[in-house]
Amino acid sequence: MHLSDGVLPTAVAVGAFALTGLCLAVSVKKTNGDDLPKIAVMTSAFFVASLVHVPLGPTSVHLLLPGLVGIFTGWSAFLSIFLGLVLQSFLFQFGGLTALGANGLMMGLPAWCAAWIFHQFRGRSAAVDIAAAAGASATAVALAALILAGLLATGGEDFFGVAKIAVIAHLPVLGVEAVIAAFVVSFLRRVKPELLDVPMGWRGA
Amino acid sequence: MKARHLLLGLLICSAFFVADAVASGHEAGSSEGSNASPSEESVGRSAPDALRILEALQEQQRQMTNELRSVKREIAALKAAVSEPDFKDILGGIGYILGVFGIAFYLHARRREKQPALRPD
Repeated sequence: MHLSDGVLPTAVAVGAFALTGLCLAVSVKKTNGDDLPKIAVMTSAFFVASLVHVPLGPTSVHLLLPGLVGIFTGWSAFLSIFLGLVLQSFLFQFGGLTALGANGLMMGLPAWCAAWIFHQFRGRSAAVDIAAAAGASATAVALAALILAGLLATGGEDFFGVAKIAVIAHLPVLGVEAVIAAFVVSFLRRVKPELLDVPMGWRGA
Repeated sequence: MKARHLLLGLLICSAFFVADAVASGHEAGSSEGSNASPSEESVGRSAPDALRILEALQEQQRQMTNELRSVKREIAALKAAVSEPDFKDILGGIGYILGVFGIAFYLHARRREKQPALRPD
């Protein structure tokens, strides 16, 4: 799920860049310096995750992991994901440079959304935590597919048609990511629960 | 490249064939009375030869086309393999990420050192 060069109209690409810049600024501002190593690890995970392909009939889709990144890095998720996308674009030729803004929005906003969902429900019980992680991860993938459809709709595509295809194509990813997030969170909340303590308030940082 | 040469050869061959046929037709028209001229005899011999050569060439061309197609397919597969990220790219990317965050963390730590109020201890 990477947009390539020239898919979007110029105005949309530029607008997406502006919006991504804004989100990036917020993300950097809210990032706590002490969390940088954790963010680095999550960025690396996101960067590599897109190489894990899930076979799907004649084609294959790859893991996205915006949900997991969001859960662990909170506000910093946008920064993390944007950096991962930049390197994917340079090193793997995944997604065009001019579409970097749009790709950043497509992956970054779902990550924030997942972070919000997870930390909204977190801390009640183990089952709730794990379910929240799975739900947040799945929601993030679905949201990414919807944003993709929305962006393509600006280029003249039919929104509902693209949205349907994008969501259906990513259903396996959605499931796999929900399972991964559930496992990771259930493991970490036993082994190192402080990793899950991410300040999500607008003011707290 | 080979296929193009082959095509050229085929073209020349067929051109000769056509020229021959035209010439023989012309001769036949000019000397209607004598039907056993030596040139006609030679045409009678060379026409099946030319046809055989033409068939052989066409067969060869078919083989070349098939071979070319498989080569093209191989090139496409190779291109896909080359554009796919390899281990070096992955390690390099992770290195970049750790490097960037390492610098950021260093700057953060240095700023903290300079402001004792922010020190955790």
